[in-house]
Amino acid sequence: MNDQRDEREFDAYLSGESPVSRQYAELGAAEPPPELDARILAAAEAEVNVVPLRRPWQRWATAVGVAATVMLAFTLVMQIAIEPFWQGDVSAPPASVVLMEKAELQQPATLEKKESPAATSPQGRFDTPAAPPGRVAADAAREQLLDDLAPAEAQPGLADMDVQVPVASSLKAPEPEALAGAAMKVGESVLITEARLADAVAVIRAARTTEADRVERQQGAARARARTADEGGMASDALPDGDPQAQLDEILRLYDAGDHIGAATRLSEFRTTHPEHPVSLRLADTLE
Amino acid sequence: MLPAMAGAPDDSELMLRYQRGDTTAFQTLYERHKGPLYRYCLRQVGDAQTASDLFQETWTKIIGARRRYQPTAKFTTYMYKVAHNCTVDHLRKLGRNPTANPGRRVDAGLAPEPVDTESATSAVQLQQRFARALAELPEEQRSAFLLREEGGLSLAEIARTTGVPEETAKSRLRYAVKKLRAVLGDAEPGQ
Repeated sequence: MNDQRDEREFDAYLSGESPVSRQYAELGAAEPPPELDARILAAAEAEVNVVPLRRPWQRWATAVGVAATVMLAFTLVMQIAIEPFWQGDVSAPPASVVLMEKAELQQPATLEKKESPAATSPQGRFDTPAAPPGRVAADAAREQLLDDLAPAEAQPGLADMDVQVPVASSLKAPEPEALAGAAMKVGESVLITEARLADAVAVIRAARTTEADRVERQQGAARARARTADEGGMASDALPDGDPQAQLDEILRLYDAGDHIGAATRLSEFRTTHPEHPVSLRLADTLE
Repeated sequence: MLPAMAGAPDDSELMLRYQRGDTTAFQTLYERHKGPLYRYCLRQVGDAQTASDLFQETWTKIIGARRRYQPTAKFTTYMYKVAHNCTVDHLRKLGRNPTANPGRRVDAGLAPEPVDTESATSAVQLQQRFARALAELPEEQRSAFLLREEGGLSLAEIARTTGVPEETAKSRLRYAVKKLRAVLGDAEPGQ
């Protein structure tokens, strides 16, 4: 009951018909002091007249931002334009450059003939259709260099080629500073390539040494087999004439002695000369 | 709340004009709202000096936000939200829980000490009792009531101003009205 009455009174209040609102209105209409009005209005006027001060860093922010953007763009452009040619992939173009220079040193007449179309091109020798002959010459020089197995440090003039820079003469007229920087990069590239060539030579030498060792070991094993056969009074070429079982025993003895290749060879010869003779499963499974 | 005159510029329009540098627009806006806002502050804190400080702080913040003002809501909602926040901050500085019954001073013409003499008229006594009851309301209920009476805000606007759900604002206002109505009893104001 009370709730319903409260609800009605609250609805009446919300609709503006409550005695509560009328009683509140009789409390009086207090106003702020006039001096407070004056202060606030003066503050409002002062706020309009105040020119917002910019902090020092704000004054320079635009200029610094533009300068930074220009520097960044310039750096990116230079990086894109020069870096791939001089330094980009150290394993491919710079190596070709170095090897081509080597080819130029070794076969100047050939290279003059091959480079003449590219050297006059404004795009540079590697970006024009004339580039493939240059690369062919470089590849030939590399193969020759690797084949003769000469030590890299014995190759004359590789480290000094940065100052010759014949490649630069075919570039698109770079800035002097860029040219100097590029020459330094060529020097670095030459040194890097030289070191890689030395590593490659060392790898090939090691491979050849391994192959020679293997051949030597095989020859040693053959000599050992011959000695074993001589000591046993049974030469390898006498096998077809001997007792088949004795030959099989000899093959087993060789196998047990560790000469598997010799045993397999003997078994193969035995199969040819005695196709009808049975061979033990052990020999057949192991050597065939 | 002072009713807007027909054809008078809207509060938000006045504020936008002030944003563009028209100080007369701000003067109009100030004249329109200074009384209700001052009474809101006065009856919230019960002290004329503190009320003046809160009143000035509120307008100073509105003036300072001139460049950032955007008419996304009613200007009165924005103005009373600033005033409400200033009041709550002030009460917190004083160490008073804004939600508790503060047992505050009742002065500045809000409610003089009750004069319990036979010569006092019943109307004055009723006004004194009503003023005391208003002053003793919990801050949140008193705030909702004053926002309704002085600012003319709807329940949704009271909720937005005080940062509570609308049902909560409605409940607070209902309790405030019930307590104040109980003070009146069967008496009718003005009789």
